[in-house]
Amino acid sequence: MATNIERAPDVDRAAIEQLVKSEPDWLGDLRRAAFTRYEELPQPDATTPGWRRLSLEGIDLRAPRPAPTVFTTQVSAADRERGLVVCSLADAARSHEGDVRQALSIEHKGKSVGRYAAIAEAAWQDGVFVYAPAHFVAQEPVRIELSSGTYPRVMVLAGEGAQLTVAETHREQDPVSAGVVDLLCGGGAVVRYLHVQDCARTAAAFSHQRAMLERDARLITLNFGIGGRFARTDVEVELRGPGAESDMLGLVFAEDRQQFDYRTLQGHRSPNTRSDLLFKAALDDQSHASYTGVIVIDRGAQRSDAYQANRNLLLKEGARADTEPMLEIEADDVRCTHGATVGPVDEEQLFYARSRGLEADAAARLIVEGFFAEVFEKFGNPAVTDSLRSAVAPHLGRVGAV
Amino acid sequence: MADHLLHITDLHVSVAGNEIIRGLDLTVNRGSVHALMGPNGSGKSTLSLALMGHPKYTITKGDIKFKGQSIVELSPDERARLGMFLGFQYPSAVPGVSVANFLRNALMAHHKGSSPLTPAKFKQLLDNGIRKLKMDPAVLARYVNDGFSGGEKKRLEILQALVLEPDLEILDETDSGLDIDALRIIAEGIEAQRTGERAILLITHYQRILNYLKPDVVHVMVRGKIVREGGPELAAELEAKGYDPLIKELVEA
Repeated sequence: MATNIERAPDVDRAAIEQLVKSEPDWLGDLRRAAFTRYEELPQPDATTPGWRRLSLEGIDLRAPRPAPTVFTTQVSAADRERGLVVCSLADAARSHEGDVRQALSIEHKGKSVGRYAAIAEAAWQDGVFVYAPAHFVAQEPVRIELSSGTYPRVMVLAGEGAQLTVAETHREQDPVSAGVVDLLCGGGAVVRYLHVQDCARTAAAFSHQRAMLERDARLITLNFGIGGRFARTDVEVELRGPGAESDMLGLVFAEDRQQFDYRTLQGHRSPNTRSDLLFKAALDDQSHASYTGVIVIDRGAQRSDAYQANRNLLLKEGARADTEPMLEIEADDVRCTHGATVGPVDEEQLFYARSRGLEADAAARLIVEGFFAEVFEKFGNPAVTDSLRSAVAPHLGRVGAV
Repeated sequence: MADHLLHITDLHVSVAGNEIIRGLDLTVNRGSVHALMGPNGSGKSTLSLALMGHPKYTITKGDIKFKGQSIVELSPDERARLGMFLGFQYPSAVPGVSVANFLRNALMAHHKGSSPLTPAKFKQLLDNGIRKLKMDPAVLARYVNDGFSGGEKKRLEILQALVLEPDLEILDETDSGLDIDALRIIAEGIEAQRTGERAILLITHYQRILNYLKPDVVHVMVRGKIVREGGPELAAELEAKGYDPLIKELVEA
């Protein structure tokens, strides 16, 4: 049994007012508006649209009062000297007030801010602010580790032509947490963003990530989910500028009774934009993965190219996956394809590996490793993904004969 | 008897309830090359997959002895570790697993989980194989059979045999779909493995590859049974006359 953490009282307006006291007015206004949205949205249960496929029994989803945010960052000294800013977001709201205000005030067209993103926007205490000036090319990835904080907030601003990688890991113990991540990529910027969710096995972890890409910007995101009892992740990418490109990757390894719910948006708002999405889940025991992916191509986004694939590998009979693609295409000169698979490890692959001497479990492990490797390689930064391979390894040891 | 590496008696094999192999007897001697020939649909591939223990192929009667031991109850990996190797007609792709990694895992599985070679020696072994088979060295980093052409797949099967050094190599239509240059290279690759005690069971529809690789024994399979056996001259006869006279003879008998 996990240690019995005393439940914090539910969040209320007074808690928000507490935060607002020492902050600039514009931020207080944003928080209050977000709290109102939170109050308007019902706490989801098994009858809420979009939640019906999930089984929420025994999961407490009440949003608690915010606890202090605890995080560490790792940045190369050389990058800092050359102008990269990595600091507390609460501090940045003062030191980089203009940038933060602008970023927080962006109207996201496809914004589907649910209850937990709304409360995170209202109640965040702190988080990390990453700012790469125009044409800055980072030598080392920025690493962020969040170990506590009910509503952590991360903001990455990449100036025109900037290039950087941010690797964020959540190892929160809190029973309920909800984070918001904003990624703003200026014209021609190239940003890699890795989000690792490795929270306590008793926790419900929400993450709402949204990105805005200007002309010719490129964003590669990888969501890696291995922790939590229940994890809901929303990734929304807005290709606002012409020629913007997005690669969205996802990888889940689930076991026991873990549930992962992924929602993605590929929003094509300008011509010649490209998006490619590959979300994969390997599901052991009684685990469950749910994927809902929306591709939107606006009328003006001609010659756009959108691709979406969701692959689910069921390692045990009790594991379950469902997948739902949704297309809203208003332009006529576009390419858009999507595909989904749900099934056990391929019997022919297994036989092939076994015919080379590998025992059934070793063969299955190798195939699952391969299933993952494709995604790690697509991310294109082994410096941050190699450690994920070793994070999966002990879990793969349990993957038995299938 | 001591020379019998593989000894099949009265073998019956069914797939999804259909009997494909119907009382087959076949003996393969150590240190020799056997060609198993036959028209399409005679059950050659079924035999190869049943020998390797494919779960969809059920042995309903008869026995397969390998190195004097019955293997019908053994798993595919146990058969492999005992020294059997199947070069697949249609090998599976294993996306995300590089050729080098796959081969390292396979070699380790053959040696109780630890590599018998240092990384440098292993690399050397792969490099030699690649040179012999005139493969692109970049193949080692590619995913196993993923996006490979037919010819690349066949070469990779032979490369795996070079690394694993089996006692019995069953090559299922390794020659099909290859142009003449590729065929020659593959035949040379197989020839290079014709050493010592190793036996090769070459399953083929055509006589073509036998121009490069002289068999010691030729078996002809029709409708799930061996119907003729002979020396290399039998292959030449089939090449000249085709399978029709043989089938006709059977029908009349």
